Amino acid sequence: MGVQAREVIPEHGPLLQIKGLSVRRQNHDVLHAISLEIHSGERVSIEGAIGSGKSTLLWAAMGLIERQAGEIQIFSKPCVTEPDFARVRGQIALMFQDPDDQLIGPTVLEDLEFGPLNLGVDRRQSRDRARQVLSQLGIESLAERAVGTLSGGQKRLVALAGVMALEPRLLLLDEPTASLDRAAAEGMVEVLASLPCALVLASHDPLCIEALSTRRLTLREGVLGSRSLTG
Amino acid sequence: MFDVSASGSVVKADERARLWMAILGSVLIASMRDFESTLAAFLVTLIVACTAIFAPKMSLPPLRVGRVGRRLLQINLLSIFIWLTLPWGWTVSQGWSWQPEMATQAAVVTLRLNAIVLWCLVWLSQMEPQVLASSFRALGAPARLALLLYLTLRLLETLTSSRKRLQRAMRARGSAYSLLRRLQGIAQLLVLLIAEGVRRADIFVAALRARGLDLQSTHFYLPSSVSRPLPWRQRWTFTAAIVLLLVAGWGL
Repeated sequence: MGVQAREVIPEHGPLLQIKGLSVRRQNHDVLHAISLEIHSGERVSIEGAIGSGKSTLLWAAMGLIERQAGEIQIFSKPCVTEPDFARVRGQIALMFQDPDDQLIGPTVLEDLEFGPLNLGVDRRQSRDRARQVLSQLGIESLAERAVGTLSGGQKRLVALAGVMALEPRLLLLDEPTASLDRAAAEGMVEVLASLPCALVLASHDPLCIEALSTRRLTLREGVLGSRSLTG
Repeated sequence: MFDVSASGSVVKADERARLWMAILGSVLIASMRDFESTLAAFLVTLIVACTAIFAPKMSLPPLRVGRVGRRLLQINLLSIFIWLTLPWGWTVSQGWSWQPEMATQAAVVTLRLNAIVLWCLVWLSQMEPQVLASSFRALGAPARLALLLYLTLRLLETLTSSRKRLQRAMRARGSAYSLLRRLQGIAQLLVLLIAEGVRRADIFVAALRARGLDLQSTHFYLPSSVSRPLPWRQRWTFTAAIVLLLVAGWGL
């Protein structure tokens, strides 16, 4: 193992617990008193129109933006400051909406190693983990490719591989099938369905939501509501 | 410093040597204050650039004339503003007047700008971000700085693709039919790119944090191609180049 010990995560209790979360950005209330619990094994979709606050909710859950009110507990540990969030990142991971924002490169393999190495996993283990994830997603052939030369669909798969290499227990996905054609979107959904971790999907793609969700929530004007599985 | 091919031509310089040459040359040119030495530096740089363009196998990495032209055109947009402002003075009695000493200053700034851009293009063009960062690291720069350089270049690469996308979108909505409209288009593009740059930088930093990067910490990751050791090629040539450059600097 590397230099940083992974945080000991309790096996029981919710993976993510949000109480009364409110976020204001650019003088505009984006989220109002959101409360949410995600448990192990769940795949929760958050539906909502563009600009409804889906991405903001995921960013707030990762501690990447400031919140005006509310409590966030990740793996039953209160997260208030940046070091609180930094300790659990990796075990909770976020796939960004635009893969170009997330891919560091230079090559696909090096990009996949980036997260584990930052979390203190040694180079050999990181490389093994990266190769294992590439093989799991069936994209081993991309290992030595420069990230800038990948197609849109390939970038999205590599971005997913990058967060999977962190071995998260809870994966937050921001529009995972956006800008993919039907076949590529189906391939992505198949991959996501095979993941062992809990998922939170911010999406408005019916294919993705219907195939993956065990619980559906809607976000409208910053307020979270539940929705029946029959839609 | 150089890779000698089977035919004996010197075609590829050592990356560190190229970076050294770019940094030292730029510092030297930037330190020139009078018109004559700046003009001499510009002419020397022009000769070196022409060698790289028209006789690439002689000593320098190959350079494309179109690429050089575009870069110079872009950088000289700034020169236009310098010439529109610096040599002109205004007094109540005389109104607008041309000031020869300020015009000389504008010429020095323009020549210096062009010489530095040409010099950096000669030595650094076609270098991948990771190669540039690894050369920087191999010259003894701290890992943290090498990583920051690499990430900055990666962000610039993303911004370049944003610029191309925006330009395509603007062209798709009708090509500019007049010079004025074209200039307005450039101004719009600049504003959009600044906004996009700020937005992308914020998201990029968030993505790095989400993937566990903490530049404040003592433990952070440098990609293997940035941290790889670079074997020196023909060390004597590099040393000779540095000595020559220092002597030239001393003379000027």
